Amino acid sequence: MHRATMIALVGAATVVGAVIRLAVTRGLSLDEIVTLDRAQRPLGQLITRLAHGGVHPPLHPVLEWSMLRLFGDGDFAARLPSLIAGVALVPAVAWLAVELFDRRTAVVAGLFASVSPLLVFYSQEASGYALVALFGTLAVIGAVRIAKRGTPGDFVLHAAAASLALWSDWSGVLIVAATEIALAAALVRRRRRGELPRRVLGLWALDTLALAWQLVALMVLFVSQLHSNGGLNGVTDVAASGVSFYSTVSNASWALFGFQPSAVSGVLSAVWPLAMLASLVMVGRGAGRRAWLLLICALVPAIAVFVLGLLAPGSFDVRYAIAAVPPILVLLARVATGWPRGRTGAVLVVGGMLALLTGALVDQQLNPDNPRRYDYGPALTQVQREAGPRSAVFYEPANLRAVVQRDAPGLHASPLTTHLPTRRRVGSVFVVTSFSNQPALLELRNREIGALRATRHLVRYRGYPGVRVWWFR
Amino acid sequence: MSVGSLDIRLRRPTWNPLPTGLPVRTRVRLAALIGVPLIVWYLSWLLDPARVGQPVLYGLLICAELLNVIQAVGFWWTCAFERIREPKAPTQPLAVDVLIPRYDEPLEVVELTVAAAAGLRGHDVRVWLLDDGDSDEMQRLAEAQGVGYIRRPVHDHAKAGNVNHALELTDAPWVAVIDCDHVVSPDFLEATLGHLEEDPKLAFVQTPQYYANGDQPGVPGAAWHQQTLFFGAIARGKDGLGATFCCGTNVVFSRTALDEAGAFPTHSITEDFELSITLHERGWRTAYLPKVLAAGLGPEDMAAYTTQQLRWARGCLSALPRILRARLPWRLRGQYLLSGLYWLSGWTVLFYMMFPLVRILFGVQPLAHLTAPEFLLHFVPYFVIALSTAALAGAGSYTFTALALAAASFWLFIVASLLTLARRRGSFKVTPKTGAQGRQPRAVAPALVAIAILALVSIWGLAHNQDSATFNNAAFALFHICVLMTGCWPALRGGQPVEAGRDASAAAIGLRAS
Repeated sequence: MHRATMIALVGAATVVGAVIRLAVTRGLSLDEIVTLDRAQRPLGQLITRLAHGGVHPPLHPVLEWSMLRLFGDGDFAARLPSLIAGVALVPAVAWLAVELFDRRTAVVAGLFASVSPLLVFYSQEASGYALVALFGTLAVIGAVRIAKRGTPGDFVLHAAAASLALWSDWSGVLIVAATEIALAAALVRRRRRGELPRRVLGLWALDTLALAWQLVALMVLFVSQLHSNGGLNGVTDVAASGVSFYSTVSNASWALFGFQPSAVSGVLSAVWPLAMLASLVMVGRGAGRRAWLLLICALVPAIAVFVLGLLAPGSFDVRYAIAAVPPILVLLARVATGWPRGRTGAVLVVGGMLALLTGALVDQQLNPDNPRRYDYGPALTQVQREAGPRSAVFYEPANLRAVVQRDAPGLHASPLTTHLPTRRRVGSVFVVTSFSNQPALLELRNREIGALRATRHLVRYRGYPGVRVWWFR
Repeated sequence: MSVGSLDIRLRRPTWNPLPTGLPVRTRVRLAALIGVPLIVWYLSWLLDPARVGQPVLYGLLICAELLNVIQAVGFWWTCAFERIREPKAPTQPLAVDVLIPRYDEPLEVVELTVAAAAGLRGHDVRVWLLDDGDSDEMQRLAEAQGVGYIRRPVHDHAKAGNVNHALELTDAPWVAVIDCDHVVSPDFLEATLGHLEEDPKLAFVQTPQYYANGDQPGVPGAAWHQQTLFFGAIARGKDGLGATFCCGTNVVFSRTALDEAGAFPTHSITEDFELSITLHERGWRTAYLPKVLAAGLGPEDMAAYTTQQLRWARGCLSALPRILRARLPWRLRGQYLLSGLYWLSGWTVLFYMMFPLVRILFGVQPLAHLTAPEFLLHFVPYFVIALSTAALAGAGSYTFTALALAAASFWLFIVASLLTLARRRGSFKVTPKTGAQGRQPRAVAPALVAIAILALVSIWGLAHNQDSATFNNAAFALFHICVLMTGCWPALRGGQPVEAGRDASAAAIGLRAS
């Protein structure tokens, strides 16, 4: 394949990826709205809040702050940094593939990246995870180039990308650690062969020192956040249920196929014998040094998230291992182009994988049972329409306040922890809940809903993606 | 001398029996260090009486798992004692009879073998073509190549009888046996005889049985990948334990040892295996030289593979009583038992295929109170370490297709064990050296029936019940379907037999014979 053809095809994949990422099918989630809410404040306050009560490093919040002032507080503006990073990730994945393998693999890897459900999902979310995926991939490319050549430009690429990954999200440290391990292994090997000039060794030391210096600064911020949030579980405030067989399978399948309903995850958990088959298929295939490098970059974040999940249940979530997805996609592209014998076989395998990813993407984007989809807008609009002057609206969890203020500004609503009103004082009671998989919230909700059921008549119950609405009279 | 254009058996071998990097001995010892506690962890969980589900199924599962564990531990034990011999030339010219038994192999296969043997370097080499096919064409070939020709009046006891007859007519102190499809390298004797000369109690030196057509897709490739594990890590390990057994070709014997053993046994269809037991019983030592010194042709199609495997399975299984009775040191008995027990693996495949079917159809299963996480927690570590060790020891040469071909042959091993149990006497069938062009579904018919049953029962089960247990058992069925289908595929696709001279572009070592 000619270089121009490769560039054209990767360009086409990037355009397809951009179109897919622009076709957003969900509203802002609670996390996104909270992020936007904080970005409304002056920059000084934003940074102070980050250090005391925040859960992220400053790069993404500062980007959000800038977007807000440049383009307003619309959904598109809020998600623009992730959108740009997500689209740029398509050629970045292709670049990684061509650095390691060949042009054919690069095109296939680009295609996989353009439709990868998880990468698409976080390209459409106002969070730092798409940034981590992009900068993590660029850091891996830098590491690969250093292992091969080691020019000053390669070190600059690695150091800059790794730094940006570190400042994008705490999970960036995992992919940076992976590239450092892979890099150290490659350089030790070159040194043993006597192929490592002192200049490269010096540049590597500088590169590592630059990253270590930044880590010191970031560590101060992280410790402050840990302190103000009450430990690791507070910083990784995700509705994750900790490490279990089911959650491990779910996270693994989400990494490849995006967020699917729990019924799909249940089936995937049941078909684990196929993973055994896959391990047998790999016997004797061997893995070259390039594949090992990718495996390190994929496995280090994944294993680290697993171990963290054992310590703090909230940290066992696929989003923290998102930087592992691009290396996995490159590996899959290599398998698809390298393993089948003949052109027809390769086309069939690539087509099959692409169809599978596309199908999973469509399901993720359109299925209302997607566990990470929250349609607050339609739910609150409906409540606003039905709630009369003698109605009371309650919400749970308490931080849904920001959502109510954004999506239904005129609606007077209180947290569910507030005392429920008497029948004489209030005619209709609306209860809006979300995050029903968190045990503490579920307990509170069940108690209060139970009390309402005992004293009032349930007029209507409505389920929206990620949101539930009860109407009592 | 003319042998026409280049034959693939003249290509430089693409396989090196000695992997690079960390020695296999070290790799396997490290793996065993981790693996043994994991096996104990798994078995202690599995053998807990609380696990018993349906008792008969549980019994079958335990039998299958124990056989697998024995094979895994035996593999570690063997490979952990790896010995790597170097070629060793004799200090003086020695007289050697090189015997090439032939039955019905065609001229284009035999011609190059004889020519290569005639070109063996450095010794008093007496090459004999032992023609059990009474072919005048072969006689003319022998005359043209300047080698001896032996035709016997009575063709009894197959290859063993043929070689024994030649042993009576020849008298060199060393005897090499080369199958008539194997093209020896000119330094074959120089590399092996030194070991025999140095150790007077050494009965034979075995070298790898390399398939020159092993890089072909389908049966030859998969069969070769099965061979690589044996002639790689396993054979080197057996040598370290002094348990190398003769594989019938590419081997040099001490005539004294053969005479003492009473030549090749004629009552067995794996006469080489039985001869090795006799020699070990009588205190002879055996050796394996991990260097490719001859290139042959592996089974070209499924029918040829079936013939070969059935013969090996019947021969090794019928030797089991003999192994148990033989006066052998425990390590040799253990090694022979491991080699014999391997051929019972067809039963384990049958049991494993049966479990999901029974669960879908009747709702019963071998294990009780079972959850996937609990089972995986105990099974996966053992599975991963066993698989990794095979991959590490094979250094990438043992592949999924090799495993799948063995699994798709499960019925052969079952038939072989039943015939052995019924004491039905087998006949020696030569592995065909040229393949058929067409498809051979009959050669894999039992495996195809198994695939059909697995597929139909899974579809029926999923149509009636979509719970996670049904999905799990359907996934197990799909696992078996994929493995069996991979193994059967070469027979369904049809073969492309290798023809002499078709690979003129190959990097040939050339025939250095005159």
